[in-house]
Amino acid sequence: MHDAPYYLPLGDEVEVFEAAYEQKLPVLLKGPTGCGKTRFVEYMAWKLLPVTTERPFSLITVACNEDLTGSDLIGRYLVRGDETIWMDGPLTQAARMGAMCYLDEIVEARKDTMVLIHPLTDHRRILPIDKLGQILTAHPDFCLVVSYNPGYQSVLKDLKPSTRQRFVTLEFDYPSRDKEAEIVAHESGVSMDVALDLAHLGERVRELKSGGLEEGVSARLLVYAGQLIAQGMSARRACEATAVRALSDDRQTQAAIAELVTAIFP
Amino acid sequence: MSGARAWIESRHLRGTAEGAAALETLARLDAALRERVLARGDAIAALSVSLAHTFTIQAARAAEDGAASYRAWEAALVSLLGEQAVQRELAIAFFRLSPAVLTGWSDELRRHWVDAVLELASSSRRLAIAFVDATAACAQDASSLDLPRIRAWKSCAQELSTRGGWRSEFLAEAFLASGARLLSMLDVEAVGSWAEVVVAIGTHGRSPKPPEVPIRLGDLSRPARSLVLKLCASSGNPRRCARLLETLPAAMARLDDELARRLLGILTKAAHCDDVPEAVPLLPGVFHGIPHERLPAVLDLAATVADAAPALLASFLRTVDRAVEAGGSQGIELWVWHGLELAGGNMAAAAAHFRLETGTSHKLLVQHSSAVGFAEVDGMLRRYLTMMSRRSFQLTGAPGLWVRPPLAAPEDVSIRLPERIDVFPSSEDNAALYKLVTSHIAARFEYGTYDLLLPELVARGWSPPLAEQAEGADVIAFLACFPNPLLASSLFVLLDGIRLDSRLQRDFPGLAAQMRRLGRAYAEAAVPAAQDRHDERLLETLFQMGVAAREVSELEPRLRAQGELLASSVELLRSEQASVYDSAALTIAFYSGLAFANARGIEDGEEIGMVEMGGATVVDPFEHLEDGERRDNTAPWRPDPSRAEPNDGAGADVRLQLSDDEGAPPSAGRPLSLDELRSLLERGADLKITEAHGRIEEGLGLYVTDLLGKLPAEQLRELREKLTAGDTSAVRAWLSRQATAAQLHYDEWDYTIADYRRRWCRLTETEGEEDAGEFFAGALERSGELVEQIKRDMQLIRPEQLRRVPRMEHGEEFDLNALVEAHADRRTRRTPSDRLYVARKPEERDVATLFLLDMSASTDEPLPGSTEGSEPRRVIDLTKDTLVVLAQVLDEIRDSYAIYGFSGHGRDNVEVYHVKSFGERLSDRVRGRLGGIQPKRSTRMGAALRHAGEKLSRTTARARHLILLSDGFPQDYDYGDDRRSNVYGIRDTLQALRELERRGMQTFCITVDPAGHDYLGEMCPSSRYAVIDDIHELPRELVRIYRKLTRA
Repeated sequence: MHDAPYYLPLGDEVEVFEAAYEQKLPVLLKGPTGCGKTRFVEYMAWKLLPVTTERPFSLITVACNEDLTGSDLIGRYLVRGDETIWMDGPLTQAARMGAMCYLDEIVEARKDTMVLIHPLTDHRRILPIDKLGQILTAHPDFCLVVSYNPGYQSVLKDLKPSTRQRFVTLEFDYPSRDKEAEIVAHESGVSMDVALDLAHLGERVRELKSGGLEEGVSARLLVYAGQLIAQGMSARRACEATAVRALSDDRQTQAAIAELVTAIFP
Repeated sequence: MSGARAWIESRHLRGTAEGAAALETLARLDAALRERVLARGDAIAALSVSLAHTFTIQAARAAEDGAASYRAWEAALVSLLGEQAVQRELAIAFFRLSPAVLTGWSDELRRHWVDAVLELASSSRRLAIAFVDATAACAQDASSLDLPRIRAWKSCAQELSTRGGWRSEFLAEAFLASGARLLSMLDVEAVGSWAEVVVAIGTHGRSPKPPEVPIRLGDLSRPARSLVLKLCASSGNPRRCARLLETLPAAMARLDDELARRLLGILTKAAHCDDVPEAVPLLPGVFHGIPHERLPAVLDLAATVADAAPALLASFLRTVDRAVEAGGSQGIELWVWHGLELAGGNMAAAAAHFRLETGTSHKLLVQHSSAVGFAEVDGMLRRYLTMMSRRSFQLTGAPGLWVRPPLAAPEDVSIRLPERIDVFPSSEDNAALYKLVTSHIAARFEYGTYDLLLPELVARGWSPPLAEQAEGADVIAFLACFPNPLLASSLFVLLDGIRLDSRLQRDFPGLAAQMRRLGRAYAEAAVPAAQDRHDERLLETLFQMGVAAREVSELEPRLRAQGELLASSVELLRSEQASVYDSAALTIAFYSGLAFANARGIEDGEEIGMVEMGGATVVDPFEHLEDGERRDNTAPWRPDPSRAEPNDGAGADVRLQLSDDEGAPPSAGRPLSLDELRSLLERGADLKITEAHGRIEEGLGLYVTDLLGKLPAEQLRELREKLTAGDTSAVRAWLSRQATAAQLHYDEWDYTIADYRRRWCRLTETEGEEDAGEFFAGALERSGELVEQIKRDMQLIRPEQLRRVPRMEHGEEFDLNALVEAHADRRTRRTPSDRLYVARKPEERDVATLFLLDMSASTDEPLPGSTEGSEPRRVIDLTKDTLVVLAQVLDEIRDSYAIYGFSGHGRDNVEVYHVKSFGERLSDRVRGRLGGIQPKRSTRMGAALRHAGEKLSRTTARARHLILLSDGFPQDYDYGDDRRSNVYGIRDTLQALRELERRGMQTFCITVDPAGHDYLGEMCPSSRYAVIDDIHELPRELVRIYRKLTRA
């Protein structure tokens, strides 16, 4: 059994998730990019679904995009030599082996794809596989988790109410400065002081979300900055290479963030 | 004395004091001389006894100095008047002249003078008399009359008497009369110039008046006076000459003599230009604004301009200080050469260039300077401010310079920053100063300046003087609670600034070093020293300790005593727990310290009472407390100076507690015991009230604005007037207006100079008036079926917004390419793709449209065919109906749109009325504002379009449209020099439309003016405008156009 992924609970999300899991309810995670949703799912999968021989993976993650089709999730026939063989898609795999299936950024997927998961999310917990003419009943351990980021999607890419109402919803936001600093310090190995400054930077840059930046700086990016600093790079340079350049291509936004970096790091 | 000499016995002589004295003198003379005098008297008496009496008095005076002296005087008398003094009036004039003057002269000078009088008398007796009288007047200054001057004076008078037609004698007389003041002042050559001036001014107009000698002329050096008169004389036009004579001496007196002379020499070359006299009064201000070491170069350039294009000299001189500031020596040279080049082809363009009204002139200047312009940093600062303050703002550049920005109202979304910063030699530092100013603004939001609540402050025991009259409870209301809000806000901004800076330094260590370095450099470079007045000194000390972060020991000696008093307050504000309530309480304390001192001074019959310690006057907010109370520091402390006497009854705690906002334990509250103050007070045992000059209001405002930020000249003048009038309520109103009114400046295109006139239009955006929503409801009713119909039509747009997407798993038709590939895959035993279809995907509708509505007076016209009798429907009503329909539909189909109206009067008053912004939904207020649209004044389209473009550019929509709804051509009273021509307005509008297109916005102009083709055709391509022939069709047409535009 591998080590527990590092996760610092921000509230009661662990308890809520555990309760939902016990009741076999699917979970929806809402929150901006880089606020720790994926890490939370990894942590919960590790905690709730230990790896066994029948279950070589406790977590199967699918990053959704607009080209993601039903076949991509459920499975398809592949031509191999002279025969065609069926290959389970990630969702089918998880349902079969009783793993956790995490559909990241679900709204990015096409609407008809989303409908596929409906029967899995209610009391039936079944997955119709029309190409096989089968109806797969999900493994008792199976758990479906989806996430979405309500921030930058347009109206057209909103989650349908019929989909939305099938989930226990956990709302995530960026951690407070202290918590984020703790995370950064832990993950990157920088001192708490530096981590606090990095968290401060992150907090401020996220304010730009309304003013031109599509996404706030993720905790991940702050950890990267921390790692560079831990490597001996100067704080200003490390932040420039991570936060400043990565967040935007807009020169003025870059310049503004760079100014902020120099304000925070002497 | 013989009996025949009855005239001398006359009581008319003896009876007067002068007569009696003269007779006594005569009696003392030796007999021969007395007889000589009397004999002359006899001769005169034969003609007139009273003349003989006058003669006697003066003759006695002449004879008093001896026989020779009398003989000289008598000789002059005889040669002037003949043996019998037959010319009675001339004789009287001669006797008015003290004999000592004539006898004091050399024989030659006297002879010349007599000749001059005779010569004048030969043509006009009046002139001769005037000359003699003027000599009498000049005689005070004996040195003023020498041979050359008398000659020049006489010959000019003579010449004058031959010019100027029927007024000639009158002019010559006036000229001679003015000689009394002038002759001693002028060089001989300048006498002629003065004569020219007298002719020029004295012969002009219906009732000509010869000029007065300007009082300030005497303040100039002799050569400068000559130059002034020469310049006036060469102006070639009576009005110009008079104006120059009026303005030049005063202006030149304020300049250094050498500079004045050089300048006068240069101005002479342009003396014939009309705008020179108007520029003259500005010259002292302009030249004081130029660093001393740059003056020679500037004067050389001025001479070059005067030689090459004298007509441009005035424009050049008016702005050269700003040009030097903006461009340095390199920039200004380039600026001048470019201007002179322009002058070769287009004088109007060159004049605008030298007046710094064009965009190019600015660019030329700044390209060589280290200055940083607002436009360069606007986008970056806006984002930076958002991150620092967690709010979004609009930034605007405004003339002036400040590190402690004026306190804006918290709800104000527009923040003003200096238009340009050119304080430091490096552009990095100038840019960094922008950042510091922005950080400070952010800090006000971040660290609670705007969280101040007046009732809470009062509850803590601190009441500003006019707390009962407070309108509102926020920090702006708090500052309005002082009789002199300017002083109060300066104190507050400086005190709170110390707190904010220290918070910033704690949270942003990277800023700390920059703040210390630039704050100090700024204080050295840009802040004038305070006058020797307690209020100014207090502010300067605060500034030095705050912005420049100086310790008391680093202060200049004159500020040190005040600094010691301030030290504990500064320390308090810098402490971690300090809150805005501490800043506010200290503001009250220091304000009242000033007011108390003031009140006490008046009571004691002195101008201002001050506490004086060791020679320095300091402001002590707790001055009115008895020593014992000071020591305990628990006595009642009230800000009201009239109640300043200690009152034993009240026992409020005057400790200035550190706020316990942060949950600090009460023990952390540190009394503002001002220990240092006490020890100072103890040391300064002989506290005494001394007099200081000036009152709080007077002049201080100007200093404050220097300290906090340089105001543009216009506003400064306005403020100065209000301050000198002592009208504090007007000052308050002015301040609040400064704090709120977001005035924006826009360039305007002037086709005559082929350049932008820079910051030419001043635009204010205001909320439109509102009705109660009845118009909106009525319009919907009037539109009947139309709304529903349009809505249906609009829904039809949707299918057109579909995009064919190939290689889909599901779809309406096969994707042939994919099919072929899949087939090939299968044949080659590879897994074929199952994405074999083409699907139609709805494309997101991403449009933002701004409707810009012409609200000019002409929209008040009744509609053609409008029913008589009942209130006729007007053009504006129909336009409003149209907008109602459109708003209703667009809101339902969720298209993003905004509506603004515009009008105005003149370039300084372009008005844009906000009806609906992009973010707003169609609320009741928006409905009300739509109904409230009314015809206003003119149609200055260019500025309104540029402003609308700014709004539109801030939306993120992919397709951005601007639809201009008007009823006529662009027009305003100063839209171009020629009021009858529309060309200027049309060209500017055309340029504004082009600018928008260049920025990726689609524009469309709709007019209901049947003549619209004439000018719209000139302004935009035919696909970009529409003339609605039947105005009643406007709603349908507009919707049709909207659909067509947004479908594209």
